[in-house]
Amino acid sequence: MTLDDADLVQRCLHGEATAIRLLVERFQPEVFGLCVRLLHHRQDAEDVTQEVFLRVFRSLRRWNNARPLRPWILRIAVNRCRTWLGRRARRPELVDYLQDTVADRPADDAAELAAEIRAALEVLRPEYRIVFVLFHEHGHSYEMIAAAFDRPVGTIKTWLHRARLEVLQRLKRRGMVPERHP
Amino acid sequence: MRCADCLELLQRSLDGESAAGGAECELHLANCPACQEWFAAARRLEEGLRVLRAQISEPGPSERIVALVLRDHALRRRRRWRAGWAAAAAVALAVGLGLWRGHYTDTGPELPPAAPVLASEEPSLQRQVAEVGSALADLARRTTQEAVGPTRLFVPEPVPTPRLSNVTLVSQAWEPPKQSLRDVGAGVSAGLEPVTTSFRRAVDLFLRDLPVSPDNPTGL
Ligand SMILES: [Zn+2]
Repeated sequence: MTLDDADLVQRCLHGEATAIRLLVERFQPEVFGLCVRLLHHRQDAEDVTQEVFLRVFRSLRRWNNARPLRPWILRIAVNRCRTWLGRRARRPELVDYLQDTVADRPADDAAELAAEIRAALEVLRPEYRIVFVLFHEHGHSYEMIAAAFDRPVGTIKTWLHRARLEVLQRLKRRGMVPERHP
Repeated sequence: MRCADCLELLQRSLDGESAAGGAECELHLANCPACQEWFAAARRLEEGLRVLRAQISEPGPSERIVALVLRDHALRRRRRWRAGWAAAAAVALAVGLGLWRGHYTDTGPELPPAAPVLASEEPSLQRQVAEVGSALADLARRTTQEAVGPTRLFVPEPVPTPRLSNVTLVSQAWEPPKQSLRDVGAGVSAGLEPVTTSFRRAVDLFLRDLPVSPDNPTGL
């Protein structure tokens, strides 16, 4: 039998180690996956994932159990990633890391394409990047992403459309789109 | 159909919505190289996304997170308890002082008229020590009486009350204490003994209740 989120949270609040483990295992793959896809750096992703769960457990009392838990945790993850991306954008050494990543593009076309999309995402505004990854790579709905950002669906749609156009623009500019042969 | 409408349709199809107006867009595309390029790029994007989605990230640091959270939980719980005990101790002290002051000012005998003192005059060191000593002696005597008093009911022979002082409170207030500070200390600890014992028991219970993390078997 699986515990529902509200029961699980109640047990976590009583400090039950098994409940804490269960909650981490239930949501950690998604949070860590998001961090890896956004930060592309295992150590950074682990650090942010840890921060996210510390915050989750410290504020668990404030979770409204009339609302689903997943978007609430996702919101904490999104906020931490935004902060991290904003902080990292001001770190000069990262530019080298990114340029290396793009320069070391594999010969295989599919992998090269994936690397170009990654590179395009790197230069997007953090919110655009997060929305893009949540929608296209994690398969979340607009409603879920809106709940995670605490913004209207319309805003999320606008962000995603702008993000897409910038990525498409880069694919065109970098010669990733084949010439049309009439 | 204009380019903007065609691009809007492209966005909707990438959103996963069914795109109405496809036929009109097809017509526009046939004659618009710019829009053709956008659509070709979108197809490439979808190819690339399939690759990205297939990339499986390694398992995350579950164990480390659980250990960290448990340690944090224990630490915060301990801090909350400490804060609770400190607040309780402060309240008890405040209540005790309030009772003592109330007793000292309301129910005590009237002070004899004292010599007029200038407001700015600092009391002498000797007088300050005398006042503190007298106050402590009084507190110790009353605490001892309150703690020992009820137990007298079970003792056949009356227990003699320790004679701390023969003089009145009023004269104590103006004279150096008759008791040494060592006697006062002994009286205070005798009086507070039941309190300290129960406090120690509460702390032991609390420490026993703490969860033990694998990294820190002592729980501290
Ligand atoms: Zn057009």
